[in-house]
Amino acid sequence: MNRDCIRNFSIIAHIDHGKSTLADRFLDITRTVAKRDQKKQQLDDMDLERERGITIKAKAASMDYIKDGKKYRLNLIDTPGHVDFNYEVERALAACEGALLLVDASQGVEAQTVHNTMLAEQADLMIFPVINKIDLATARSDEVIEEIENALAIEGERSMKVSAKTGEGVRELLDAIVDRVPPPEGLQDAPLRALIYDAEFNDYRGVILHIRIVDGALTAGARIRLFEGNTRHEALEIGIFRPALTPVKSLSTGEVGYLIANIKTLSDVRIGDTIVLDKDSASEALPGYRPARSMVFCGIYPVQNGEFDNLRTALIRLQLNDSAFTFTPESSDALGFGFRCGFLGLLHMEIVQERLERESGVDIVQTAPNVTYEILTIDGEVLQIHSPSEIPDPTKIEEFREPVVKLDIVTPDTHVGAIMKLGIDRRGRFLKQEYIGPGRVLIGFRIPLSEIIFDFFDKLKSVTRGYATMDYELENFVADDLVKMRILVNGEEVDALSTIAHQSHCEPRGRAILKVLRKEIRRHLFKVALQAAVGGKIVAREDIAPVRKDVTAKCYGGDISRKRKLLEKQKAGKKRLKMVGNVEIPQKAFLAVLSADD
Amino acid sequence: MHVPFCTDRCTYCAFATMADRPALHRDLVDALLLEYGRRPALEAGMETVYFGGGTPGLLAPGLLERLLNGLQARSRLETGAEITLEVNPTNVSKDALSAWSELGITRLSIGIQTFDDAVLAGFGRHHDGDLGRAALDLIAEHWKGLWSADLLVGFKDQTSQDLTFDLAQLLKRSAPHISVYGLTIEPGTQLHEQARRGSVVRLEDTYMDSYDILWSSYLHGFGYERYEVSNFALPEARSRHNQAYWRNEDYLGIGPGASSSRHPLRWSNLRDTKQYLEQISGNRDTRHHVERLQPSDRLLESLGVGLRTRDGVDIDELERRFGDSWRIALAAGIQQLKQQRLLEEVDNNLRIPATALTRADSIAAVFARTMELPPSQ
Repeated sequence: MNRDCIRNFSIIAHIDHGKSTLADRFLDITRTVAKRDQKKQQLDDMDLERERGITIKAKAASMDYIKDGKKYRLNLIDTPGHVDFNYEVERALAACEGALLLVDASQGVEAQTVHNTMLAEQADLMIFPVINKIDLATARSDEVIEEIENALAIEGERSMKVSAKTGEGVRELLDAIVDRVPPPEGLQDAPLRALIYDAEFNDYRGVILHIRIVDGALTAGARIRLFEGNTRHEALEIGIFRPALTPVKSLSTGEVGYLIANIKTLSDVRIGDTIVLDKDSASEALPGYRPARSMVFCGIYPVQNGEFDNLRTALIRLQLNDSAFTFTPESSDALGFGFRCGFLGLLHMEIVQERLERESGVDIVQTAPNVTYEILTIDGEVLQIHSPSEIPDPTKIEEFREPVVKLDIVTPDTHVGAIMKLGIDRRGRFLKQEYIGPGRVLIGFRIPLSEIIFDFFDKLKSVTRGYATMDYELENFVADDLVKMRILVNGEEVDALSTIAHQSHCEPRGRAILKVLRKEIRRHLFKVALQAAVGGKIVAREDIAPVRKDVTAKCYGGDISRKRKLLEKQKAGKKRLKMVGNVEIPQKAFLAVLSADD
Repeated sequence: MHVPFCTDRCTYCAFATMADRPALHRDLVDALLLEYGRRPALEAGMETVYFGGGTPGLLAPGLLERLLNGLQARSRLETGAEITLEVNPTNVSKDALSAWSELGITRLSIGIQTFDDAVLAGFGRHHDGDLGRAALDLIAEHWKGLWSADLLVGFKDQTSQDLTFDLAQLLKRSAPHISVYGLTIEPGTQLHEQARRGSVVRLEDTYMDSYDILWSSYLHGFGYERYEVSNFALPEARSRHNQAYWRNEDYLGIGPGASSSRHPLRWSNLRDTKQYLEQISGNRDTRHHVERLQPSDRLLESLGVGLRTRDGVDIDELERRFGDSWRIALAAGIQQLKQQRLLEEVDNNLRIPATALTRADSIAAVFARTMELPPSQ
């Protein structure tokens, strides 16, 4: 295909601003998907994505659109809409020349819109604003255009107004994409250079690479080489997304498509690598990506120790599909053998956990998540700490450092006071406050990541009645007064419940955790003592009184099966319990400590 | 033998009962005997017979005689067999007592519940405190056999004085056997409905804990043995019939809603009397639920009921039923509970120390949770 007729673009938007609906409308108008095949939200493939209404993996669709008698190939590269998956956004944007900045006409600019626009600017894309949901009674398009100008410094007058739901303005938008998004550059006659911007694993086909041809062309059957990986393959199948995989004979300069090359696992591929023809030994690599970095860690253990191997198999399978997810074996006195797993953020963690349970059937216990810490030892060595159990003896620690992020919050100005309080309670340092539109404020904090990964977003939503949005970016590691707090159950340390906390927060935090545990652990036949300790000092204590008496009703012949069924229920409940000494701790308790509110 | 008729239904009762219809008494007796005739004959003789319900005390002596004769027509009654009749205070008279005695009834079980008039009325009982006392006086004076009285504890607003007063009435008349049942709220009862609508119908558990100490030490002082968590007996006055349940032995239950156990099978009859009678007259099966027990089910049951008794579970019997595997299956639970002094092995019995008997259900639950089962076939 002639590259002058190609338009590569993506849509950047905040969750719920209607990106998937707009994509569906595009597919509809360009007749890419026959009506009878239409599922709502074509591009969200995974069950989880459809259930949660979010996009996790970048997806693509190639559409043919005729304007002024000329046929254009529009390649839409969908991007994830959650802060955890920013690295995917960056990758997707690198394959485009233009980006539609989709903003809800009643919600206006959100924190994430700001962040994603910055990513698009860094990628040097042609950005143009699209105001969506103009059919809503609450639409305030002109104000929103003003917000875009103030908050994003983008000219608002070229904004398009659409309703993805009714289709109003969508054809005009397609015309504008043809007119405004520049065609791809690149050298048609040069040796092949293609960028791997994403990859997915398919049970039947192996690894499917998502590629953008930068220079030259790729033909089916070609012998290729992955530049950095330095592995050689045959291009078994190449094709485009319609959005189902549709084979083609060749992909030319500027085109977006897929490549299947008999690659067995995702770990054999580095996203951002360059594909060249094997014979072109002199080619240079394209600039790649910075690798995704896990920032949140938690332990995942099988409830039954015998399930360890099954769990490992399940984790390997998950990683096939999700190269941002990492895991290494670890062991815990309380939980036995399991894995320390790394995630991009909390949503990513939840998604992995849900997929694990759904797809593997292994019952798991998950520990409270923590961020990565750094410890500078007195010997001058810097240790990466992914788990409280890795913390060395306090006498060996020179500095205990934690990751700090730049946090942006967009909110109606009536909630500024509540947000200030929340930020400061969470050890945040106020940076700035700017009006981006009438009554709408952008507030900036510098804040420890550990303070926002658990429930900060929920808290923010509740103090602003759901109006505020947030986004953050890692800045650096900063030394602070951090300690390990241990939890003891009947004198026995439960390592999986240990946490890292700021010295000044230990006592209230310890008390809050014990309160939750007291609720989650049922009464036993003996007293259960719960303690929180920092070093040798007990900072909080709670007791669970023993069962003194059961109800002593009549028990005759007709009750015997009933009695057994009651006992069997106990047996079934055991699946989700872990023993610490003689105390049964329900799986829920290990996570419930998260919601402990001090 | 389950006789479902009752003058009125008590608000807490979840048994298979129906409003009394004297015209149906004869039909029921015939139906019970027909069902009995269809069950496999008992290999050994009958050691105990229990007429329960419902209120079997409502049946005329002639019908009770017909039942007893019918039973003995197919299998023999062991010498010294225990034959219990459940009665209410309203059924008791001097004549009735002598008639029952002549029929060979050896033991009466009388439902007293309490002597508090207001509480009795609230539960829909058909007698008041005075009638209860009068019935007990008659029994104490004229009845030569064993007898037992049921008391209910844990109803709303019950004080410790109320409870001691009720117990004293029984002790004064030297009841050989006393059952003290904690009030439970069973689905399908009027009480359940009252509780669902938000009424307080039960005493809080914390009171029940202290009341238990009160009544058990009181009865202990008068020479009663707590031989099961809810049952107290003077020497030689234990219920043999109930002990067979608690040892998880086989039993045959006849009548609407009755359960039977003939390992590995366990079944129960239709609960509705009308349906039951129709099935019998149509020569059809009266069982509505039959299950086949795995050895592990039976082991769990043996513990669930056996550990509620002071004697505990007989180890020889466990070995006879389950071979060596029971000890492997229970090893973790035994070790844990012994360590906590909640289990002991005495006289070749696995039992709960007297001080922990009220926690028998929680202790059995430890076995349920720690039981190691051999892989199923």
